Amino acid sequence: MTSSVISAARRAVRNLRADPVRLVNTVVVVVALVAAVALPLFSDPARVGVAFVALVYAYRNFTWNIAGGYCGQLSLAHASAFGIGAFSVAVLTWVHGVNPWLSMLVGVLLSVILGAAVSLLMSRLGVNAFFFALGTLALTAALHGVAASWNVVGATNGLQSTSDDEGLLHLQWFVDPTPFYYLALAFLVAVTVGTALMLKYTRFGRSLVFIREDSTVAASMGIPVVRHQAIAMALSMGLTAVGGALLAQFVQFASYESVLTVEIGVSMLLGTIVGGAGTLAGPIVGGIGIAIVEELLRGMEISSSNVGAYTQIIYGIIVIVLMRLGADGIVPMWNSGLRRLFAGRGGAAPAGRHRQDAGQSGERGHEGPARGVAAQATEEAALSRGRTH
Amino acid sequence: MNATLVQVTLTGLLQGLIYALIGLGLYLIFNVMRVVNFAHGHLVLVGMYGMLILEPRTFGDYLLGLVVMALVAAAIGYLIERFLIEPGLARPGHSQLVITLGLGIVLQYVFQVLFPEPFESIPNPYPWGEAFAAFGVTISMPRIAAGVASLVLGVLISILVYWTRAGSIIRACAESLSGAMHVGVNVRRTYRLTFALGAACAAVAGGLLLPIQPVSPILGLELTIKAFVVVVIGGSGSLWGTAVAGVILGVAEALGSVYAPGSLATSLVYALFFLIILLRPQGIARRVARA
Amino acid sequence: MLDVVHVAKRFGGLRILEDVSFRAEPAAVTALIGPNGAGKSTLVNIIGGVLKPDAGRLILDGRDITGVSAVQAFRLGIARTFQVSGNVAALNVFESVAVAAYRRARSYREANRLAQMELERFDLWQYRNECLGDVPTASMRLVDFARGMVSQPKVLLLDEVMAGLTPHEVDLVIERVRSCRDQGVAIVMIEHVMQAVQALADHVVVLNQGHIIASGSLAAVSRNPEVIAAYLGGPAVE
Repeated sequence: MTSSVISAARRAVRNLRADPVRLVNTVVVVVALVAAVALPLFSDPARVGVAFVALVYAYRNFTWNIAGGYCGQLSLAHASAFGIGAFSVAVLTWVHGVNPWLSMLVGVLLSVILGAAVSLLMSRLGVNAFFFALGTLALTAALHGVAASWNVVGATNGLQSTSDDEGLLHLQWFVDPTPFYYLALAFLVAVTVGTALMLKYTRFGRSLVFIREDSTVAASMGIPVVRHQAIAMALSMGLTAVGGALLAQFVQFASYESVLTVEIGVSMLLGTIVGGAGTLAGPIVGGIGIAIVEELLRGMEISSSNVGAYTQIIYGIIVIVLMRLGADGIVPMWNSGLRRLFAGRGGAAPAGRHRQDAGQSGERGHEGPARGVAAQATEEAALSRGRTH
Repeated sequence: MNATLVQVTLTGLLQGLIYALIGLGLYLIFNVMRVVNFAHGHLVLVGMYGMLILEPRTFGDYLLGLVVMALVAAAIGYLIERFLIEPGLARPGHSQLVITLGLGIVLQYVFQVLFPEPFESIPNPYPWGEAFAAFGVTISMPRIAAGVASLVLGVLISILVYWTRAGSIIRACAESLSGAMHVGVNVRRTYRLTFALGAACAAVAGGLLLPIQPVSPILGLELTIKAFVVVVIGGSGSLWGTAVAGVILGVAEALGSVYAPGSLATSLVYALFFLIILLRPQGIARRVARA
Repeated sequence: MLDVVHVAKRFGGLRILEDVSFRAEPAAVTALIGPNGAGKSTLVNIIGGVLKPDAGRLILDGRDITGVSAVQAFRLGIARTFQVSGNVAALNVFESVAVAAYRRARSYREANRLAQMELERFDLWQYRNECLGDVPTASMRLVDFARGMVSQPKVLLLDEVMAGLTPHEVDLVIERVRSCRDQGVAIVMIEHVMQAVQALADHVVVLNQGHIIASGSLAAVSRNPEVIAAYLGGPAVE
């Protein structure tokens, strides 16, 4: 047993030595983890609170990425999952006294069902990314409106936590946000490691990128596309709900305008793309980036109501520029920069692109309805050759 | 009670005509370019906020304002198409979706920062009185004027599309891009023209909307969704499909608001839209899938 | 053994395929040839389950598989090649083969082992970390073979795999097709490159405007006046 662990470790170290890009990235991750764990020791509670929110942003971007970045399902429904997670805790725990972990579980289950249902229903239309985005947008907007009128979730006033219970069992700490911070960090690390393992070792995980790039080819390779898409959406939405529950407990408030808006959904999408969709670190970088930008703006004495607005504007512009330039996001750009650096130095980096288990190809979806002139020319040529794909 | 129902229905019908105009712009963009413009509702906002800035005091000012907004929006649409969308069309992937989504968000928050006071409107610019009352129903003048103007503009655009050479080029591109290219059509120019026209429709509709409906940045997403409702219900038939669809949407929304409080009525519209996307595989969807 | 029986396909008013019937024997190469626009691609898509025929049947080893989906077709033993374009070029060579291996494999280790075996057999192991788009063209086609063969299919559909290859590369791929055939697979090959058809075809089916106008050995169909007319003085054989 120990000998196989040792040989696996030896192999891992050998792989790292052979691949400088991976080595650098591993060092960066280790340093970041150490810094993250140590952060509360060097910060006041206010800063820890901000860091907690940053982790929630990173977490929900990451969970969106499972369906959106890896599977290519550009969903705007995840805001609904986030909201369902928050409201489950708000309604079941704050109003009815149910243990918050159980409420969270209920929120997760509801989101899983919603995710699977949306995906399966949409699959009837054929996998069309634009209508998927549109439909999920309409769904979130509809739920937003329903929440605004539904007294159970507080309608326009929202719900407030009045409970006194504290501690891990009750998922609540009043004075010091540090336990919240570590809990969020634990969830983020768990979900990252879990996703990495899933993507590498399970058939489901390995099939996602094929579904994303070309679902017809995927099906012809025996991948049950519809089923896997539904699983991806269900998993992704369910995990997102956890983020909503955590945030709700921290803020002790939840309303239709604070946890279930289309803007939250768009923010998850844009934030992930800026960081790098289809990578593990991308959504995390994107999410923490949002928090950093917000902090910087606050430091520049912009009024608090505008901080969020300016952040969104900045991220929107970055995304437009990235898409316009055909670039892939911060993490993919970092990786290709590193590769160029080491290839130029005659390092041992492989000449081609790295294994796709980290999904370096960035945000791409299946052929959409938007026709380009070039694409049309190809189609035209194809038609004249008797191909009727 | 009966009079109220008639009033509500008429109000919805007139509102629906405005939705039809907005949807018309999106319909053109969508059918010619197969681009799903997530920022379309925000282009309507451009018209609304633009008119707010212009602050027309007389009817003449107002008309001038509409023309100005149409031109400004057309220019904006041209720029968007030329520099943001066109380069991405030849590439695989969904950059258009993300770009227009990002654009919408940027516009929404720019408006939020520039106009922190929500729900602003302008007074009735029409010189024909405040409202029209007959047979027990009272409808505000701006609403009647906006509905009629939308209808007239819709007819004008129909004429443009079906009776002029420029329009036939647009239709050719919409039906078969390869065929159009074969005949030597300048596709890029057509795309830019179409997007500019679509943006102008949206902005003018916004200008018409402002006296009736106070403006606020969150309207952007709502109007985008409603524009899509019109396009999807209207199907890929003639332009008149959008007119009918707009009216259906307007009346449904108005009747819904009688039986359900504010936000719930809109939610019902969105939920209905979700169902329509699912249950209507032919028409728009099939064209898109085939593309 | 694959039987295509009276298959027809129409798009709108267009008759793409009409009354197409042929048999693909195991351990044999059946070549589908014909001028452009003859409907060969549509036929391959129908066999592969991507399209459903409007009429006719598909029989695999005596079992009626008409109308099955692409996923089911693969599970039943029909594998096919694809032209690499656009998005697909970003996919990883090893993963492409490994995911297909799950037809036979039950676990991660097993799938990887089968993929490795197949890649080594095709001399592609050196490319295991590359993306499909970064690999030389001939090798890219072979990756498709590997992906198909790793699932141990009954039928392998080759869609113009010789296109764009140098004569030397064509010879290499011909060798590979032979070895796949010799493993007992029924190979259905759409081809324009006559060098390959000559070398490989055990049975030739000629398609023109959606109809089969001749079938038999290559020598026999080349003498058929209708075939010659269809090609308008096409490639002379012998």
